[in-house]
Amino acid sequence: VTSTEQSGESKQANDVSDKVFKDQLVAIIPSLRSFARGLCGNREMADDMAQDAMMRAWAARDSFTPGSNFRAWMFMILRNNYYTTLRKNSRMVSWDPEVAERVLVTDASQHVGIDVADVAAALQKLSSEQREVLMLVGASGVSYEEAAEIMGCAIGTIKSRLARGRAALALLVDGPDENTVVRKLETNGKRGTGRDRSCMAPQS
Amino acid sequence: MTNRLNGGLHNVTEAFKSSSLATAHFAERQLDDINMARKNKGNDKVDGKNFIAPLGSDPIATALKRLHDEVIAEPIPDDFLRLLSQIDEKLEGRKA
Repeated sequence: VTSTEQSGESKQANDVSDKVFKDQLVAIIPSLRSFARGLCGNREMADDMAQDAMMRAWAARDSFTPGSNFRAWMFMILRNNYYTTLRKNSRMVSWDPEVAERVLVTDASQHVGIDVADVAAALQKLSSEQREVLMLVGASGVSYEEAAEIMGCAIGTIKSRLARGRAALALLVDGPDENTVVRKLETNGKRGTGRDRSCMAPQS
Repeated sequence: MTNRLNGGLHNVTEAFKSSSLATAHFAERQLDDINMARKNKGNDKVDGKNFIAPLGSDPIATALKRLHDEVIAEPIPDDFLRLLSQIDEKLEGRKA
């Protein structure tokens, strides 16, 4: 076997793996767009983010291990770039400290009925970590393990972020209910700090 | 509602006319109607297509899944197809 034949075979193998990689890129587009849309809440920006992730993935395709989790790898590329952009551009930060404070004392079990558009709007008022985990596990059906891999944190962190994010979302959509008020008072009684007492102020 | 009741009375009359079996069948349907009405009670926003009634499932989870499904169902924008064409061109160019 000559070296020319060897390089020919190697080139053919590369062509095949690139074709497989491209097919995976095509298949992931809808999920990638959905994840990006949930993260930034804007269709155009989300599609730009998804395309950017695809270009980065193509450029770095040699670093992807064939047979490993392609979705997790793509989502990681997208989110890493999202957070880099977020740090550069403070206008993209949609974190609402008031919501964060109230999340701690919310009972999310009370629901009458909700509107999808309200949920989409409320999603953008959460912290990016909560929004991300809700999009991954809640919307895309990603497992806790895969979400932990994508977000680079422990499964326990995923679970707690999910619970808090879900509670915050329910609070934003439904508004506070009687249980929330009761639990707020209980929490305030236990902790008794100035910060907690501020939660007792009537919220308009 | 009045129309439905009137229609119901008419149906009952017809059912009695035909057979007792038909009456039993009709009563069953009426019961279904009542149960459905009970389920829908209080859901005065049911006309909105995006409204999610809390019938046995978590509305937040359902809303999140629907948000996802709506994007998934969208046609892929041309920008993406152009990007894929660029990749194809690179692949073809390398073969040549």
